[in-house]
This record gives sequence, structure tokens and C-alpha cells, in this order.
Amino acid sequence: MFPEKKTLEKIKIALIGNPNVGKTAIFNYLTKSSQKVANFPGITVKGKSGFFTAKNKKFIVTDLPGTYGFGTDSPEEKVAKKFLLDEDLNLIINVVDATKLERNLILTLQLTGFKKPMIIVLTFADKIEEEGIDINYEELSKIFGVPVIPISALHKHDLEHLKQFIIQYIQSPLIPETILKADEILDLSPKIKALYLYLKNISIPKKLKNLSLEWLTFLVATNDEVVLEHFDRETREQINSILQETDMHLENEEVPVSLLFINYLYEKVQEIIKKVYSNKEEVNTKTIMELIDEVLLDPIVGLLVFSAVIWLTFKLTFDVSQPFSTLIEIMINQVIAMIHHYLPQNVFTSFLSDGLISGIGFILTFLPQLAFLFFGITLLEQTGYLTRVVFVTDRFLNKLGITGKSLAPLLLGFGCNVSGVLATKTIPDEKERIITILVNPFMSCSARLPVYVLISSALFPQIASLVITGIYLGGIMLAAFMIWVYRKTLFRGEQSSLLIEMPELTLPPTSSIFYQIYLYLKDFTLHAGFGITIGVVIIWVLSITGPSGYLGPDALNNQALIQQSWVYKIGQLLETIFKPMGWETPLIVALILGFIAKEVVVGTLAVLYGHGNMAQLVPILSSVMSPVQGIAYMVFVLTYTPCIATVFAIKEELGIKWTIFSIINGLVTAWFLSFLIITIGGLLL
Amino acid sequence: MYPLSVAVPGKKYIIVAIQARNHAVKRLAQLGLLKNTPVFVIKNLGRGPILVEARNSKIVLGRGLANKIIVQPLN
Repeated sequence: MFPEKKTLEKIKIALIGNPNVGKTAIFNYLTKSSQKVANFPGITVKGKSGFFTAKNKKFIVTDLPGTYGFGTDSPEEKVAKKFLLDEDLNLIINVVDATKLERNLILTLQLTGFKKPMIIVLTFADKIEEEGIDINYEELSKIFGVPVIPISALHKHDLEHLKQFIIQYIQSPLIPETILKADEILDLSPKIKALYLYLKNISIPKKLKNLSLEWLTFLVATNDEVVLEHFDRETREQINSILQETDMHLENEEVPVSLLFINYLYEKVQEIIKKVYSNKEEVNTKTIMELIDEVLLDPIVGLLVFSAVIWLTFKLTFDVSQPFSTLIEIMINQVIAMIHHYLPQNVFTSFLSDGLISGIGFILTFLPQLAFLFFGITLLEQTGYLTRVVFVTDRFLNKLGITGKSLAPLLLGFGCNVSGVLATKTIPDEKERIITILVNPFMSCSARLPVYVLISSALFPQIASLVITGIYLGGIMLAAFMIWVYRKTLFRGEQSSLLIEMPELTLPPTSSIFYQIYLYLKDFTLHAGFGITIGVVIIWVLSITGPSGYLGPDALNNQALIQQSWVYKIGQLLETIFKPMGWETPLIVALILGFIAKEVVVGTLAVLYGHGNMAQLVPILSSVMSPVQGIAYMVFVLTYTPCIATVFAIKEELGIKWTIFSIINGLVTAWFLSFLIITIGGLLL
Repeated sequence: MYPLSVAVPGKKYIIVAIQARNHAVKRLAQLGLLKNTPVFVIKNLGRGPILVEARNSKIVLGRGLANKIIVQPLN
């Protein structure tokens, strides 16, 4: 029979380091096909986990969000801190950029406080040779008391060597030296000293026992919630009173403890650098990358380049992807035809072909578009070009009321608004974050594209792409307007300032790009696909049943029958609201069901008009809508309530109040704008 | 002594003071910008953000923040 499955010993590993050091490349290599949680496209704010097995052990690797240290309360830091405290970690892999040793070692120093087995991996080891830098790895290893492994994250054999090293090392790992000396830290401030002495004499909560006392003192002194929550209330009150008491003895304006600490850390790092780092030559000639940056960062040329990149991405997304979509559509129709041919005509056949397969088919047909869009976005971020874009656009975004930090979440909205909303976690300013979330739905997500394509092809056959581009631009202008309005009304006050690191421009390996696109597509398919399939099935049920009872699958092909269905009745109820627009019931029903997922709009139209594919829908649509009505319809789709998934994402980020606001805002704006278009259209024509 | 926002590109400076609120000071410190940190100004166009290099990495600062960082030229 089957051999008994042995329970493998679990080894938990955390990957932690500054942003842009190459953690993800290492993570991808170690965990290849086993990644569990796909992060939302673009920015790693939540951690992701994966594993590999070797020597009867299961190595579970978690890629923590990039962080510079533990001194602020940014969401990335919180996630990292929680993980390092709450998990029974077997190993910390600290990934350090060898070309930026000074700043990277700040985090390393802080990590020693956790007193967990550690390895230091130095990435970009190949680059330091080029730049004439020499690092004494053995000395560095001696100072920290843990192994130091230089690698180039681009070279597979370096990564394999690292993997083998981890497997070996875990058998007898080393805990880092105590570099943060008690007597040095106590000298920093009376607050720290008093707190240290208090903590020394009490019983430390279990989860915090491992930490070095010096490091724990620092975390407590900086009012770190993640750490403080482990203490009982009594202890916390004691701690509070100590922190307040010593305040009274301070003469000068208070310097925050974390700042004193960071100054101290930098002094320690300087000492270490002197012992291990030497720069042979001062490189004065400009590298190619720097010359390219001159162009990309130029206020005028940079913007032109960006516009060209955007135009190219959209062109790929709309035009170049079409043949692929059509191919997939043809294949789906073949499958449906075969089902009708080989299976008896009954409810179940109908469910299979008109419900399930249709639903899945619709998702598949616009994967090509998404693939190109995600390709564009991935290229932007992985090359580091996105930061250049932030630099040249910040000035203009400031005029509206946001910073360049909001650009990525807004751009992501073009792929999927859920991704866009969740990506706003990286915006430090709360007001700006809320604004970016509220206007995200106006970044027309790819799910709405099929609607635009369908209606534009039907009503504006010659200039379809132009019209679609117009809708997208309209969305952007609407978003810009809304940002400006929000800043003048609900969110007045000082704007926060941009502060980000600009990584070096690199050409990422194609495998990395394609792997990321694959992750995005997989994430989107599972995420939205589930909702859409359910949605299409619901429509199917509501189409073949009605107030009068079961209508049978023929309803899908019979106009008379379908008018007795639930789906139709709901549409009729809402006709009065949409009277000025003159849209007939199936179109209204499609909008309602579009709340489930925007992709469902086209699916609904297909079912209600009795045809499963776009080619057949096109002539029908051109007969039930005038061009003006078509534009009004597309604008409505652009603007009204975001889909359920996005609504949930907004609720997760901002809570119920803002979610309801967002829904109502969308509906009212959508109705008003469509009405405006119909009215103006009516006057002009 | 003057704010970073009026510093000249291509020159080296040293930070002498940061006149921002604690929250901003911490964020700056995280990236390595503290009192006595040498910075090299790469780009400053009088409008829009400023690009500097400090501790071997390039950092983009909004103008508002740059106004609050006081520097002195380094010889």
C-alpha cells in the first residue's frame, strides 16, 4: 500500500533586510513552486511564505517586508517585529546589500538583540569588486559571531550554495554576539537606565524572554505596542510611571529615545566599518546608469519618456493582446459547442455550458490583456524605473494633494482595484492614504475593459481603441478632480513629504519578470475568478427561474421566456431610475450584477441577449443603444460602485464608514455623469 | 547654514540640524539622514523633489522635508 507519510521536522526561517536588497530573489529561489500566500502585486507589505524540503526536514521560509530598522511604527516594521517575536523561529537570514553596508548594518545590529540563530547574506558581492570596494568577510563574521555569506543574487550557483549552507548550518546554528553593550546604552539617557534596572528585576513574559535585556529596554522605552502588549496591565502602568518620572529630570527639550538609539547605532556601525570596509578608488566617472538617470530624471524629458511608456503599455494591453483573447474565446466556444453536441439538452447541460464554462471562459479571455498590463507594471518596479517616475511626477501630484508614493497604488488599480487599494499600505500619511483608496476605483480596472471593448466595437467600430483610451483618460481626470476636491474639503491640512530610497537601475532577469507576472495572474484568477464564476452561476439561476416558477434553460435563448425571469424583473424595477438614459432592462440588469464583479457585466449581457460570445453580441448592442447612450453606459461602468472584492478591501483598510461613503459616492457620481452625457449628447445631436 | 532645499547640485554638505517633528525625524534617521551625516546633492531643480546621496544610497526627498533639513557645505 502507500508508504506512511513521515512527519517532517519543521524549520522556520525568516528573511529580513532593507528594501531592494534582493530578498525576494533569494526567497523565490529557495521556495520556487511552493509559495502559499501570493502578495498583492507590487509591494510586499504582507509577508509571504513558502518552503523546501531536504534531509527529512521542512524548511518554511517567510519573506518579511523590507525594513530599515525598528524605530518607527510603519506597517512593515510591525509585521516584521510581530513575526520575529511570535514565531518559534529557528533561523534569521539577514540580507544585506554589500554596496550599502553602513545603513544595512543598522538593522543587523538591531537583529542581534533578538538573540536568535542568524546568518548574514551579503548581496551584490559582484558589484563591490567593480566599485573597488574591499570587505573583510571573516572579520565581519567574527564581530557579529555569525556566518557571513557573500553572493550575487543573480547567480544560480551562489543561490544553490546558500541553500546547501542553510541545510548544513541548521544542525548547529550560532547566536549573534552581544554588540549592544549594556553600559553604553545606559549612558544614553536616564530614562533608559531606569527602565533597564526595572526590567532586570521583574519576570519577563515568555515571548520576550529570548531578547537581550538591552534590546528589550529599547523597545519598551520607545513605546512599542507590539512588545508592550505582552506585559500585563500592572507592569505596563509601572513602566509608564518610570518613563514619566524621569521626564521630570530632563532639562533640555526631549530627544526621542529611538533617535538617541539610532545615533548610537550609527556610531557602532562606523566602528565596525573601519575594521572591515575599505574603498580603494574614488570612482569619479559617470556610469552608464547614471547617464540614463540624467534623462529619466529630467523634468521635461523624463515626463515624455513616462508618457511614452504608458502609451506603449496601454497599446500592448488593448491591441496586441486581442488576437490572444480571440483565440481563447474560440476555444471556449468549441468546448461549449461540444457540450451541447454530446450531452442531452437539459438543465445540467445548460448549467455546465452556459453557467460554469461561460463564467470560467470570460475570465480566461482577458488574461492576455492582464498579462500585458502586469508586464508593464512589473517592468516598472523591478527595474527601479518606478522611483524615477515618482521623482518626475511628484511635483504635479503635489499640486493635486498627493505625493509620488500614491502613484504605484493608483497604477495598480488599472490592473485590479483590490491590488491598488491594498498597496496603499505603504503610504505613510493617513489622509493621503484614504484619498488614494477612495479614488482608486476611478482607475479603470481591467475587469471593466471587456465592457468598453464590447460597446466600443459595437457602437464605434472604426475608432474603438480611441474611445476606450478616452474612457481611461476620463477616469484619470475624474480621479485627479476628486483628489483635488477631497483636499479642499474633507482632508485639509499640511501635506506630508516624499521620502524614499532610489534603488539602482537594473535589468531584472526575465525569469524573475515572468515569474512575477505568473504570480499576479494566478492571484487574480483565483481571487476574481471564484467570484465571477459564482456570479455567472447566480445569473444563470436567476435567468431560468422567475416569479412564475421554473422557466427552463430555453429561457436563455428565448426572448419571451427570459422576460419572465427574476433577472429581468429586477431590471424592470430599476428602469424608472434610469429612464433619462434610456437603457433597456438587460443593460440595467448587467449593471446591477456588475456589483459582484465587473467582468459579470458582459457575462450578463451575453446571457440576457441569448448569445455566448462577443461577436454575436456586437450587432445586438448596436441596435439597442445609440452612440451617446453607449458612452453614458461606459462612463457609468467606470464610475459606479466598485466590485464586491474591492468593497471588502476598502472595508479592511478603512472601516465601514468610508466604505459606505465610497459606494454612495460612486453611485451618485455615476448617475450624475451619465445623465450629463445624455443631456449634452441630446442637445448636440 | 541653510536648508537642503537651496543646496547646490554637485556639492557635498553635512547635516547640522533637522527641524521637523519627531515622526519625520525618525523616518529620516531610518534612511541614514541624521545630524552630522554627509550628503551629496545630485539633483535640485528649485521645484519638485530633491535627490541626494548619503551613506552610499540615493534618497528622494520632498521639497517640504528638504526645507527642514539644515546643512552646511563640506570642504
